[in-house]
Amino acid sequence: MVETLKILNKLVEEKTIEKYVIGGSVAALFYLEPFNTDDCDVFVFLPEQGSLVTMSPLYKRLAELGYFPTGMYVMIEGIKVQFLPISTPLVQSAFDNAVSVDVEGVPTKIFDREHLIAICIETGRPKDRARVAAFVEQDPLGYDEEKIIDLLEPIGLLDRWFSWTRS
Amino acid sequence: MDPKLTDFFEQKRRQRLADAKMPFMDKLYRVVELQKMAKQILSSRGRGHEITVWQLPPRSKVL
Repeated sequence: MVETLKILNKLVEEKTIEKYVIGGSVAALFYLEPFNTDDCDVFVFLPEQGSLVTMSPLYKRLAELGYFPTGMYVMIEGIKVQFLPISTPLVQSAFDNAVSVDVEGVPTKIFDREHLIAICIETGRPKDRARVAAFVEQDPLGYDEEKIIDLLEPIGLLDRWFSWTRS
Repeated sequence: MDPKLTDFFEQKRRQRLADAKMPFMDKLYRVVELQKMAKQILSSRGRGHEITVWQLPPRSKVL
């Protein structure tokens, strides 16, 4: 993972991508007990990104570095990475408010707890519900519920938060 | 509920809380163990190819 992060940081330094933030299960692993997961979700903002989102420059550069995509994924230094564009206003907010962390001396950014939880609520799959339950059980003092409410209320998902956490 | 069962669940809950506080890299090594287990289980059903096991450097190099 350390080497993977070094490659991602290199892509930023050379301006192939403007910024990246780790979300999904790997970001959740910073806060929760270890659980099985398949890939590392990396949200990216590409320079001069217009109305049409294209990952082509990113994949081209990765191929130059020797990392070739297989389906939706790219194996980078032993970790299966999925690059994702910013798809919803909530993900944009998570991206903009990402927190800095350090993995073995290598800096990176991850989604904060509240955004991870809110995105789980928005996505709404059974595994997202399980992740919300894990946050409630394993990290009860770590997240700010008021902040989650502020994220979910404008998108009409407050009822789901209460039904998932109060039953 | 049976007090022994209550104790068991409480012990499990405390273990999960403790595991949540492990260093991130230690968690990743645990994830790889879980991936290997999942691959082994699915391999016996001819579906091992569905699981990718991450490649991390040998533990001694990290610690």
